[in-house]
Amino acid sequence: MEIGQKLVIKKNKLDTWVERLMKIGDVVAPVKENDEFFFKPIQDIKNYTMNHEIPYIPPKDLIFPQSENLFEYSRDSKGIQIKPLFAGKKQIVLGIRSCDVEAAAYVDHFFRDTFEDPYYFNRRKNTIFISLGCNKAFENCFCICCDAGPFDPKGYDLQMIDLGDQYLTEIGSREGAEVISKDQDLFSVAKDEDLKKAEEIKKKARDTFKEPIAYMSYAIRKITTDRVPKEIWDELGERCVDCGGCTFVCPLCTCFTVEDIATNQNGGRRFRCWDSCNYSGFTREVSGHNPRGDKGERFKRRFFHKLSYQYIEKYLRHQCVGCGRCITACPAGVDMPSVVKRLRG
Amino acid sequence: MDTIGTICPFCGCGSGTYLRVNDDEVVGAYPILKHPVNRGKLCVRGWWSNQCLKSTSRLKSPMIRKGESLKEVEWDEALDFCSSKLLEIRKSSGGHSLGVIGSPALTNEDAFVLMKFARTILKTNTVDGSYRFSSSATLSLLNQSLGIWTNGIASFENLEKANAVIVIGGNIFQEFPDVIGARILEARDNGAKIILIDPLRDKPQRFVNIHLKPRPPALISLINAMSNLLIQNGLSRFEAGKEFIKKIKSFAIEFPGIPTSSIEEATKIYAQSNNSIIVYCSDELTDPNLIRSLINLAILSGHINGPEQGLIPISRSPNLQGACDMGLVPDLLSGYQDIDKEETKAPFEKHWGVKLPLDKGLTIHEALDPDQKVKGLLIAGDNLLGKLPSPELIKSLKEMDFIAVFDGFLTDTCNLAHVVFPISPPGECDGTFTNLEGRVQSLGKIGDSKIGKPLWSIISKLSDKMKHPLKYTSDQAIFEEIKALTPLYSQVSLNEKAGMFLPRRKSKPKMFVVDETPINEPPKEFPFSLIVKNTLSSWGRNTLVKASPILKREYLEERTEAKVNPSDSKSLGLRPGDKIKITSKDGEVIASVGLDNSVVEGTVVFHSHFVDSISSLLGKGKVDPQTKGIYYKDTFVRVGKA
Repeated sequence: MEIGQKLVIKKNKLDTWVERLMKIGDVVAPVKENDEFFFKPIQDIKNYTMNHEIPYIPPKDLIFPQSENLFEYSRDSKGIQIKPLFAGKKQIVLGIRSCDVEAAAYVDHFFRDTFEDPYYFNRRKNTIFISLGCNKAFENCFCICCDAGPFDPKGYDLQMIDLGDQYLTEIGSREGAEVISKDQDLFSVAKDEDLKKAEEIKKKARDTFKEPIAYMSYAIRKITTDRVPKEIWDELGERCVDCGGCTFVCPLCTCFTVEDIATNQNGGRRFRCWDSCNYSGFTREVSGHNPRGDKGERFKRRFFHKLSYQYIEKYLRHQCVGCGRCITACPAGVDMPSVVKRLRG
Repeated sequence: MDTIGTICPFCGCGSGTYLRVNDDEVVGAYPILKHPVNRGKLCVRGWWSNQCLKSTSRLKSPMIRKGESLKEVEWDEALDFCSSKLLEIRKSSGGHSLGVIGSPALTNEDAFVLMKFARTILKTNTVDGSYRFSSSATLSLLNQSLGIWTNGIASFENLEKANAVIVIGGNIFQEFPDVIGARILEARDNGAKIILIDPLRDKPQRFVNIHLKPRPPALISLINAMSNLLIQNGLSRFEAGKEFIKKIKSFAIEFPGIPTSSIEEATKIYAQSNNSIIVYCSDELTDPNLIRSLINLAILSGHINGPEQGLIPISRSPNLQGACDMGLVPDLLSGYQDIDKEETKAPFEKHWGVKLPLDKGLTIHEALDPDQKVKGLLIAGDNLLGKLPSPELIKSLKEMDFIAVFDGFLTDTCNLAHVVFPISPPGECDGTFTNLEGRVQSLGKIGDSKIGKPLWSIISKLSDKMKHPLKYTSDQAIFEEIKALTPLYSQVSLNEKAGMFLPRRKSKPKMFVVDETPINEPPKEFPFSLIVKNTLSSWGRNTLVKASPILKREYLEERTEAKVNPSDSKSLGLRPGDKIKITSKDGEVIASVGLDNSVVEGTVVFHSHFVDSISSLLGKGKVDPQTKGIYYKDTFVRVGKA
């Protein structure tokens, strides 16, 4: 088994494979509950589905949870003791969509940018992504404008494409090859006609996106060259309500804050949780001065970070994968596509 | 990773929220995508509602006052102590010397059991809620005008379809964005006209069509003037209105700084649109005459009959409506049934097998009047100390012979208590909340609380010790009893996924005489308007906000300062931090000055928790005879260097 190899598995054998995967670690797969899809570790093979929309809660939280304990600290006669609390069971994320895989590759980049964050990578290195390409766009999707889907994202371990009665399965990494190597009895080598069918499906999927979707390149140029008038940021910022929703549902947003919680007189724990650059407390200084005190300023900062070239150069992509979750989360209609549209004028 | 669906514990909107649980530990909160209230959105408080459960200020064990401090004790010891104290006071001074103060943060089940415990076991009708000084006026006035408050409420679903919306207080967009703000913007984007009435905002927001900025005491006069214009221009759809309006003495016609044409236009838009809605925060607008004026305006224009139009009075507490519905009101049993009337009282006496007490119950401020000789108070689910509006009431609470507090968190009020019981907060308890639309929704829990117990179970245990066991075993059983005794709730089924609406009843609306001298211009000697602002950072010293690391950063406690516009400070020769003297006709205070661009020129803003300063400037709080709340009237002041 090697990277780039293409196999197929009959749909009726998928459950058998998943059952085997469950022996390696938690299989985290889409589950339908309350008319909504979630990524959850499956206990029962009957519960998961591969006919899912992108779950609203991004699988980002499987590798970078909303809050986590980092370490416990205590003070005794010998000095200060630090006990790291690493978490990270082996997990195989099945059915993750292309946009979320592409986003995870960015998040990886962020957490090793200045130093390798051990808490993050302890989870990440124990995680296998088996992505499922999207044969058609969902209501708010615009990954096609963001170079993040609907197929072939950067960073998948295995990618599956629904060919009707079977899944084309492509190996994207050594970890992916290793996972599949023990299950060769369930897979066969993809034939030319399978590959041809996959190409047709990919082509068809491109036509299912709404027109016009977003104009990323235009917005990137305008922001990078600082040609967006202040009035536009003020106007958009005035609508923003500082809820932080867009940053939490965004599979690429990585801001976090840490807090030490004293549990007794001689010790406590440090935890971290997601934070949002929309919040006024995010950069408020102890004196009370806030370099981004104005909502419009904060709004500008967020989109500058998402779309300006200096960050694209640093992180090797602009920071939107077109999953469309912010469209649902934003109470004020100032989500990525509508902002990009407004910048275009 | 698991997801538990529940209702956000922060405000009266009742947003659907998932709590994210990982190995028994709550790690996050997330909006429910298809919940009809919030449709996949949350505000900053909702996004961090999980952090309250892990707060270090959670009460971990019952405590009894020993000397100066509270000491942790076993449950039994605390229950024995509390029950014997209650029995002792009841025996020596009678049930009416005991009082129970609930809160709009309790579930319907807890509120009902608390009410029953007070009336049947403590034998007192002094049962009230910490909402007495804020949002209860709206409910009580809607009940008086329309029979039942549900009749006057527009539903959220209809807010986005409205043709005209009057928003009083621009911070509503920011404070309730996921449910209210989003829908107002949607209505605006669909062509609705938005009228903002807010003296504090400097800049009109771009999505507002008309912005009226009355100087604070003039707000009521402005609303009354709109009612008058409505009649004058033949826009009234309420027959009896013409006659009625004659009873109101006089109307202000001109308001400095507001062009008469914009008042006329706003009135026209509101009156002539098909579906018009008035949105305000009932914890901020506490002057009952203002609420009366708003109800009058809605009745006159015919915009109060059905879920398509009416009022949306937003409460900052999750269950204001439910707590009032459950009879945490001195003279009313659950469902606003009169305790003085034989026909409404009888079913309760029959069901409970006891005679209800005949004493006239007291409101909080009456109970805190030393002349009333109330000796013991049970305070449940709220930091009452942070909500009392005057230094006299605070002093009186501190001098109470016996205080038992039931709360999830260590609050300032706990520090006055003789005994404290930890209750399980939302997220760790079952039960229901009734949101401000009248939607009754079930809570979900991540598991039973390891440190607290549901209030009803603590009350049941207390009743055991007092030899009159209430014998409750579950929230469901309590809800069945609520249904059996409360016609308003009798049809509510808890099987509906997104809750079920309380019924509306057909009724003929009654208007209010608003006895208010019109004010439009400040007198020469007092050129500034004083606004007492009730923000989320100061409001009741919000316990839940303080329990979350993110939220306590985002809602900084307001500094003890009077805020003015920078241009005013310039003309007065003041720098931030300088001491200023504020003088009103009732008194004067010295305060340090802070600058705030959002404060309109000619106004001074004080935050509501500086009760000493506020009562010096505003005199004694007024007691409204109809709604029995204490409130302060905005006034004019003089400002100078101290």
